[in-house]
Amino acid sequence: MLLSFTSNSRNYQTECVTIETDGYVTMKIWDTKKGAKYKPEQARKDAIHAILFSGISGGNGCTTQPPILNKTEEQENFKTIEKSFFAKKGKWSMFTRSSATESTLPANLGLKNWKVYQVSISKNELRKYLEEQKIIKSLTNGF
Amino acid sequence: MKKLHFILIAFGLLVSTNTLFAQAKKPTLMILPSDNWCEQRYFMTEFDNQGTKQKVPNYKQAFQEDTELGQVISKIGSLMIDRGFPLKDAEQELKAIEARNAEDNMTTSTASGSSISESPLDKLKNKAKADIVIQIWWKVTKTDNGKVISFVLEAFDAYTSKRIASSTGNGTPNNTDIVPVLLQNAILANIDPFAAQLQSHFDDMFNNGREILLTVKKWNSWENDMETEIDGKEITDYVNEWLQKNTVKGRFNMSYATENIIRFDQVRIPLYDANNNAIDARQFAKGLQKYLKAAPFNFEVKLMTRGLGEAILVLGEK
Amino acid sequence: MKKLISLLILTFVAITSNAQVNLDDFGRIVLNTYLPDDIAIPTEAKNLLITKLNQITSNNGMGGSQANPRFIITANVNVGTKDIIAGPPQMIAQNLDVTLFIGDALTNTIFSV
Repeated sequence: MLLSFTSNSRNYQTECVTIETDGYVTMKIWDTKKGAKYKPEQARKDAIHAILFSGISGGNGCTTQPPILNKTEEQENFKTIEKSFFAKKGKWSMFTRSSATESTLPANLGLKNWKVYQVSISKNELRKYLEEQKIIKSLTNGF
Repeated sequence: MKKLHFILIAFGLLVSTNTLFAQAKKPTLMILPSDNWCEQRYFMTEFDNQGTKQKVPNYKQAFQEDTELGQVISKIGSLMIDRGFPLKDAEQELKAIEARNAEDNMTTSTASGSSISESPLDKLKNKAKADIVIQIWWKVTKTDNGKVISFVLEAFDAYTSKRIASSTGNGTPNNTDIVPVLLQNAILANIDPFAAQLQSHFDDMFNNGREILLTVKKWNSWENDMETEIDGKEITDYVNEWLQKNTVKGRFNMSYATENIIRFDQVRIPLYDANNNAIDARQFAKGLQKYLKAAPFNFEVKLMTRGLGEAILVLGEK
Repeated sequence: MKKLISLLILTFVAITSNAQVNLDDFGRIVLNTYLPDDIAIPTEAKNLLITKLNQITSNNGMGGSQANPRFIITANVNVGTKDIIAGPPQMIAQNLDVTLFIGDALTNTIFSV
């Protein structure tokens, strides 16, 4: 049986911890399918994916933040570099700090023995990188 | 082969420079506290305007006396510089205006000792202005669980008065941090949604044209008015037709028209003219001025502008 | 006889010595500047207005300040429009109607200008 590893098969869930550090977002992330087998490297990649495509939902002291790839055009632009970006030695590692295993699970998970990671993503640097690569437009674009 | 390479490169460079558009006119941004913020902290001056009391915010006093405002403006300013959009500082602009006024009052020409001419309208326009005004407001509420900061960060287009970006929120009750830290957290929480909306506004501007306000008025001494018929059509209709031809996708809205004034809003003007030069409300309105100065009208038209986004044409004389 | 001739000469001189100054109506009147105390303008503006009125009258040869003036020149200031703007800086834009009057204090008549 061939397992298709498409980039759409993401089952991670996130919970915002804080957006109050200048330029960084810290969130808890876990995978509903992988559960206890969730690896730290995958957690970091998924966290960046969340910031890019889903944004951050409000609650727990965080205000809702829009995703960095806000428009279809930008998402299409990103797809051209997505593979090399998320490659093993790709650029993604520049934008996260190594994650720590969370011992306290989010309340709605209950007593499941899942791995939950706390990942910090350098949101500002990620945005600047995407602007330089012309994936997204900067605020001054065209002026 | 080398010659072919050279020719290809030269051709490529030529093509690329020809397709380079001029940069569009960049709007200026300035942060000011909202009227309500000033009112809550008593930074208002009350005037008697012929019987009614009118309150006007005293921004200079707010900048000089409030301790939190400077930090908030500084933080937002630095985040915007980070995004390549330095803000105009209202406090510095006020000081510069005062210095310039003093210097202008003292300036006399060496030839005849003449002073600089300044009409009352010039004096009135000599204020700190920006194309986009960013307004901030916050309030600290003390609850049993701690202090809650309610924060509003919004941007208004100075000419159309439209709200082009906005982000508001209430922080979580916090008992440990001091108010400046809570304010900083509120700014960090709101700046990304705000910048994203601002970006959408700029995208809309680049796609659909800059939105301006256009008013056509007349001097009292003019013998005609807007309803005067020239070759069977009223002046109002002529102006209407001109706008249909010259706006982006014919987009404009006649807000109201009387025999003295015609006001157009939501007028979408192209960002570049036929020669790929960046244009603003003034250059656009000059087109209408030329049209009205030529036959069959031959009117004298005065053109006045307010920044990038508002043009006023006065018919009759200069 | 000598006494008669000197008397005649004296009378003749006395009669002709009256016509010295070429007086016309303009030179006979002195206009004194007067502004009521309750005029609705600040002190500096009031002083400036008094100086200007004095300048007007002295330029036309009618200036003066008598202890009990009969003819006065005065001004009335009315606010046409008043607009207050926040700025910053805060500014007030006013249109003022300044009307000048010449009045006769004795008969209480006003001759409008």
